[in-house]
Amino acid sequence: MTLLNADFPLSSPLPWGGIYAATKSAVHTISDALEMECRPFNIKVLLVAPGGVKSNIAANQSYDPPPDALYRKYLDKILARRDISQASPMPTDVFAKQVIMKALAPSPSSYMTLGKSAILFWFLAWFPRRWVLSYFWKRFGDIS
Amino acid sequence: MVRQLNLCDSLFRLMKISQGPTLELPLEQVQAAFDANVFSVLRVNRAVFPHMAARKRGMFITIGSVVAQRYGAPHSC
Repeated sequence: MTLLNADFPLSSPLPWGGIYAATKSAVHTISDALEMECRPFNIKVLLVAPGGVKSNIAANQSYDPPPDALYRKYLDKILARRDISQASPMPTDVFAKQVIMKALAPSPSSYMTLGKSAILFWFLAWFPRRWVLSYFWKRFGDIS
Repeated sequence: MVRQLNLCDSLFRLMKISQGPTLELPLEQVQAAFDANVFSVLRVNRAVFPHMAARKRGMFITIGSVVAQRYGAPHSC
């Protein structure tokens, strides 16, 4: 019980996805604030934290570094990282059904995480933060 | 739009990714990412909030991500 009440960071950004993760972190905070502020009006709030779900999210994304980019030699890593969410992702209709089921439950919770690697991210939240960041860098960033 | 939302009560959205080195992604792209992912949530929620509040029902469903930081007790999956 003590552990469940402790403050843990849930999840971490991946290398090359810092800006995206920053926008999503902002959205998480806004959703948590809304969860409180919407109570007087009986409006429910559900924050969905997906892992990999089938979409055009990677295909719609191009990254074309200028010739003098300091990270140019990391381009392969950057593009590979971009595409991992679309490697055997959760089918879109399965995702949608699970979210709707949760939303329509009699007393819906205000948070859910699902999709490819969602459990892994949940699990990693219990590890020391520096270790997780090192692990992600080695796996997705490092070219040495 | 509001008439439609009166019928469905809930609002569901998906957003945009912005991939690249934090300090070399063009700032216009960074701003576009915040516009699409963060300000869109505020814009749409503001538009429907008075209508949901008047009916005392509704739900905001927001798509975050596993890569977002969220402090607090971990939730069950």
